[in-house]
Amino acid sequence: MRYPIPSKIIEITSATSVGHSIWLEPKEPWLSAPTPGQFAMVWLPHPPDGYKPEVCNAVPMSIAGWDDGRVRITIKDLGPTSKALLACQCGDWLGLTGPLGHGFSLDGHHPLLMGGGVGAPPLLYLAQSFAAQGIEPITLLGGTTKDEIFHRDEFPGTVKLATDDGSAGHHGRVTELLASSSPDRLYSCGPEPMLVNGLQWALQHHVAAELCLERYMACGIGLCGICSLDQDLVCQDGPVFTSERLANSREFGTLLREAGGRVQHLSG
Amino acid sequence: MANLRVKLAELDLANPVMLASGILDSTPGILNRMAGTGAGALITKSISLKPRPGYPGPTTVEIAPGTWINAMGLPNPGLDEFLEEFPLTKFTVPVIPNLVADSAEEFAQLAAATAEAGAKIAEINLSCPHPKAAYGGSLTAQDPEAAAAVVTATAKHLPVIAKLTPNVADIGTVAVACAQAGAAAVSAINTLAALDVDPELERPLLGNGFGGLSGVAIRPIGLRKVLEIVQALNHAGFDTPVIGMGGISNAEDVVRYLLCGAHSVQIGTSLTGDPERMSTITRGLEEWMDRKGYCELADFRGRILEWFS
Repeated sequence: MRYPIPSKIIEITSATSVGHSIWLEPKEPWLSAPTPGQFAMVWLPHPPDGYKPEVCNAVPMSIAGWDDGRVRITIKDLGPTSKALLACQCGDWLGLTGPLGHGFSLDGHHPLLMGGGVGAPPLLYLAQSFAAQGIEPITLLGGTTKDEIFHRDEFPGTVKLATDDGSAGHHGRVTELLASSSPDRLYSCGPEPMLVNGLQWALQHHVAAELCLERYMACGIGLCGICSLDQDLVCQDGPVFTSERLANSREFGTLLREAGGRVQHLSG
Repeated sequence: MANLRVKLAELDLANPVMLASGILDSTPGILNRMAGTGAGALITKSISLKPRPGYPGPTTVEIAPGTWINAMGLPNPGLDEFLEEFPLTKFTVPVIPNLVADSAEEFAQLAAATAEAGAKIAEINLSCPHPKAAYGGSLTAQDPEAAAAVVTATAKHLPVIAKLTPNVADIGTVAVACAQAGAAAVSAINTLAALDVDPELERPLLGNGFGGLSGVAIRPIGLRKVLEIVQALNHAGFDTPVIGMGGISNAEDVVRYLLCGAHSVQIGTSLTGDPERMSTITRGLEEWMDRKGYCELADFRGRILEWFS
């Protein structure tokens, strides 16, 4: 059943300058362990002290980790609901509907992970899943500045950073680190322009790629269709799509929707 | 091979199974996918004059297997952006706009604009149970005169399907009022006014508080309301088509509605997370008719009525 299971915040970790990670314990167990790349609709049922009731909403967030039924979610300060979620304390209750959507495969033997911003959390869970299989991934993480890169010290395997201000790692875009890589599969999550560049690189180098997309979602469970990408539902057929699929997309990299399904064109 | 074709105003539909409004119909891309599932027609989400962002989440919750409570909040980009993006006449199956407004005048504006854009028929949403304005107030389709006024105002521009609410004492009276006002068809039932609460979180389950109940649990209510509408229309001398909906999740459920006298049906909730179920249902209806030896829908439509005469 797609029901927002009451889930208690039991730990707050991994703070950055733009957010942190929380561990939640659902009151009733999820029907299955999540696949990396899957997401949950995270419901803030009550406003934290000092917040207005209008901040209450349910928003899609990637699963950043899983530990025997406990769910990890990493929150970035992006809007009124995420800001309020960051004000929640241990012992507070949220609602979690999940796991939802179609996640990453674990088909890579020499996987390369590339993340930017809140794209890092699902890749952390993916990297941990690879490590559990004895495969050490290489991870590229990008951000405006060092303090905004989530989980940079938590990834198993090799991690290379890129920052816009040069405060850590390569001074420039994370996609510029692709040139020195030769993986058999690219896994990526983050801002769409980064994903577009990642897809182009993968197609040019004949590397299979799986990209995790973000779209505005009103239901998250395949009812309304507002999140659709061409004829696919991002909430159900995605959020992870293969490079073959995205290479033929008319909307990937060009068209987003906002509340009500209103079209927003991506520039550049 | 059974013939599943039905006429709906000027439209000639390949089969009597339509996509209900508000489900998998928010973008041209997803409508194109649904067009490929074998549906006879597709109803769009409710379109209003101005954009509506929709309500905060949770917007849809499965409260028992196959039974849902929802308050989406009629999210839509508004009439102008809708018409710009949705080529109403260019889909491979007929696309029927669903219109929602707060007054007969606004409904008429929407009807005129969609007729101009090529729509052959529109469904008018007289019955959404959860607009803010309806708190403590009434829905248009709870007042036969108000419903008839909207039908009169819109039917000047194109044939209309009046979508009715089950949240009334006598749905037959409302259906007859709509038929008298010139409705080309009536559709029923919209969702049942509902509320659910999470005991751990001690608050309403939906972001909007109130919502509408849909899914398998409401099928027997939908069947009874459709039967009451068919009886009332017959009694008043109208042969207005009745489009049945509520809790249809397989071909047998379609048959149930047709046996109660429905002209055709709409499917919504059961397609959640399973868009291709539509093709299973349309194929299943044809197989059922072949197995029973029926050539036309008219061969069995309304057979249940004799039990209630």
